[in-house]
Amino acid sequence: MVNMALFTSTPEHEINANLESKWRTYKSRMGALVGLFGLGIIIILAVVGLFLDESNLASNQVQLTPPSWNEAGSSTNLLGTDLAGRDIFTRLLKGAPLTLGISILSVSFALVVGTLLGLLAGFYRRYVQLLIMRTMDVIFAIPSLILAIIVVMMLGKGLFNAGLAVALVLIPNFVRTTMTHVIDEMQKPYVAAARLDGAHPIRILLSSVFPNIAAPLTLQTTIALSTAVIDIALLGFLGLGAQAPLPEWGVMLSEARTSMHIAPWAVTIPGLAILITVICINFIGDGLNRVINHKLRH
Amino acid sequence: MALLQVDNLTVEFAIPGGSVKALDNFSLRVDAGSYHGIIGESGSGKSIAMLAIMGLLPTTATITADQLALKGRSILDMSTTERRNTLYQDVSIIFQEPHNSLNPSFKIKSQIDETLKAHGYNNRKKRTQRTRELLSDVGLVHIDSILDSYPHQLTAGILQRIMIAIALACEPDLLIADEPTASLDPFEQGQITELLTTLVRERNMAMVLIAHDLRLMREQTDYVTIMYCGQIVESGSKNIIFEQAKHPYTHSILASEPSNWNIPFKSKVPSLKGATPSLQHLPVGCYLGPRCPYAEAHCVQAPEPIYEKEHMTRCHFAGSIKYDR
Amino acid sequence: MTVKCAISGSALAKKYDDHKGIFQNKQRSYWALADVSFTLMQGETLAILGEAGSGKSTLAKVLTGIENPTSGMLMINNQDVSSESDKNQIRRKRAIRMVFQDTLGSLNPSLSLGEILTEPLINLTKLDKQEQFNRVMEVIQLVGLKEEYLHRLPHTFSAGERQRIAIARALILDPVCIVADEPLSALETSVQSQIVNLMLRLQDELKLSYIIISHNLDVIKHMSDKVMVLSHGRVVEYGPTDKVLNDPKHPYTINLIQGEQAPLNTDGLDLDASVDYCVYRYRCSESEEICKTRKPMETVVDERLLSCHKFSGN
Repeated sequence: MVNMALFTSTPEHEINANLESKWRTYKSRMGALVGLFGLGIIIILAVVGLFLDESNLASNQVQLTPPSWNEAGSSTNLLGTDLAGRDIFTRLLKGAPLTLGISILSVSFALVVGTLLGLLAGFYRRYVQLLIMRTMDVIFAIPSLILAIIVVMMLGKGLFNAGLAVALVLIPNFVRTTMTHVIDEMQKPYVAAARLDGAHPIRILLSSVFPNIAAPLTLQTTIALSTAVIDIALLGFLGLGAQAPLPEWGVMLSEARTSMHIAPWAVTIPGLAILITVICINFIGDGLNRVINHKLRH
Repeated sequence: MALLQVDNLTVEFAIPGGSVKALDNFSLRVDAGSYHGIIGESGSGKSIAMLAIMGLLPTTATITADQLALKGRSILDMSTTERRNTLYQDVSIIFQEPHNSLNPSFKIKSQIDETLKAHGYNNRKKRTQRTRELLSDVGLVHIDSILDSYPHQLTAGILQRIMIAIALACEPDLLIADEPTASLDPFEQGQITELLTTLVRERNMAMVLIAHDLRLMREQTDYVTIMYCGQIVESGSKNIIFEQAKHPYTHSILASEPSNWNIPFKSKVPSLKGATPSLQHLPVGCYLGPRCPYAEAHCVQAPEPIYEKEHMTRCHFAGSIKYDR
Repeated sequence: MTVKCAISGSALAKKYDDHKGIFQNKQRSYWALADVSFTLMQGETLAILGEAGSGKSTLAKVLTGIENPTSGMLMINNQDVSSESDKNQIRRKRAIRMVFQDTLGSLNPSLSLGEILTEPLINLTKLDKQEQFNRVMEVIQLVGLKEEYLHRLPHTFSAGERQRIAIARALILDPVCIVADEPLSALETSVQSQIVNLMLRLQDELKLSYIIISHNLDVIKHMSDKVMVLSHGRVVEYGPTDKVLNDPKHPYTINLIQGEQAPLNTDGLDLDASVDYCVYRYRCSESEEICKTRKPMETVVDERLLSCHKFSGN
């Protein structure tokens, strides 16, 4: 008999390249890397901002100084000062944990509640599903921003309430995503097999269904996060969310609006901050999307 | 002059870490009116070969060949778009899943119309007439209601007939069918296969049928090609293949076909041991080596094809194996 | 050596209530299975033949425990397990195991091979971790897989290997019978042979019984001792394989075997259990008046059970 070893060319590669190949797919999109890098920096700045002391926020500085690269500016105020003489760069840093931080909290809340409701709706079908989905339909029917405004008016103005309102508006998306994927997964033979293996319904949900919906949920979370940042900032801008003198970015925009024609940087810079944050989140979402679809196609 | 002449067609795909040879020196000569069958497992390269010829492969594929000619005219050095445009008048292809080939948002009538317009039927009346002609040629009866339906309202069997009708719209000289009946139930499978044979014989069209059902090959084809891991392992006229097959792989697929099991009840069924290697980890030398019951030491050298009259075998021992294992 | 009766079913029936309407309270019930009886000895194979919609999948669900029969009796090793008590449910799940057609879809994509095989042991047995591992190793070797595969995920295996995994999962509880729903349809011909050989070897070594749902007559002829032909959830012919397949007597069986049975369209058919007609009446080429008005009696003709007026002496 022939020595079979003669026929093997390369040894079987370790098939655990799962995580590695996912990272490679993610990396393949330049934007995704930029997004990850960018958001990372923003988060670091936000953490710095949390611990930064308030000294530069005092209104004792020259009002409306342009940013340092302008000839009229100075290096003490890197990005200039606003109408009240406060250093914009410091305010930006202190505002990051507000805008971004509350958005993250808001999305986390929506994720947990929405996923739970979605799991219930997908698993129990019939009446439970009916109840949950009809409620979600009502929320869907109202344009999200208007609903957020209404909720804030009812709860009272403030950053925390704005976060709550945005969470409420985001919940139906999570419910719907979770529910459709749960229903899809439940149809698959491996769920029937799990039942035949004697698994308790909760165990089926957790070990069979949940791991396989984690991917679309992650995607939904990034989408929700970018929506949340915009909505929170917008509510701040409208004076319904964070209130002055908090350096929340939306509030900064609103305060700087009146002097826009003489101090455009006071408006542009917070606006850019919001824009860059949202773009980074979207790029990350795009990269994740590729990873998920790539996996599906194989 | 052959209708389609393919010599040593090779297709490589770029993958992270190198490349994969999905097709290795594929050759085929299709004369007018001849009926060819290609058998192989998934991954054997049978579909890739047809897609490469038709210009339907993605840009990550590198296609090389000694010759690729349609009606004597070389189509090798064309871009995929050019190749598609040259071929579409003369060669049609139908695939396994009719659902994937039809647009779910449009009624059947408009989709057939679109094809006819592309083939020069500018007159509306002529198009309607031709549509009816085509649909009745493929054996469809309730033509009006079919034209007025969306794809999801019709069964797979009817949809596949519609695909055949669309494929025939340009009166091609060659029809390629890639596993046309695999998604159909047994009843429809037989009907569609017979329909295809009738149509090609009637119109003296050449046909290339890709399938993995040996019985179909035996009944319908003139020539058979057997593929494994991207290579042709044996090819020849139908009678020679079914009666005097020389390659061990051909022997094993013939033997493992359930209708050929003439063995005692519940006894061991003939089968090749092991599994088909993935294209990224092909064995050294003859690809069938590790699984071949007749392999010997020098099978680590890749076998060259051995040609006899109308019969090619890629095996060191072509013709000299006593098939008893 | 006496051969035990592994499984027997007696007058098994399954009714489904179809809920329609916006509040899903309007009902339309139909009997997917009615009056299905069979016996299967240890080491025997029963093949179920019938087109899509004939009740084959329902029968598989009722036997394995995915669904409970609406009426009828199911015996395993001569023990009645028809009632819905927890004990009986566990007994059924351990004694009758299922292998699905979809090799990829029937394995949890996020669990490793080891985890997939340990799952039934965790839920349905009282083995400790070491015993579980030993059993998993035992079963892996039986089906021709290796220890190195235990940490791999389903999608890294070939279709043939995945079907071996499914068989291993079925075997791991030491069942009396394995129900296989089209186990070969998703496999290439060369791999089909390997799985057929595996199943035959296991049957011989472990005295396993099989209930195989398949439309491949050659495979059925080679593997099964008996064949049951279902139409609209009723048994129309049931007997030894060589009789039923080589010399079919019921018009439906004859059409199925010759490949001339046009597919079923279930719209508008009401399928009531207490029917007073032959369920095949509308599609039978030999249908007569009596077929529409009287349920055919089951008669034994040439070693098989037939349900057709042609043979019930009318």
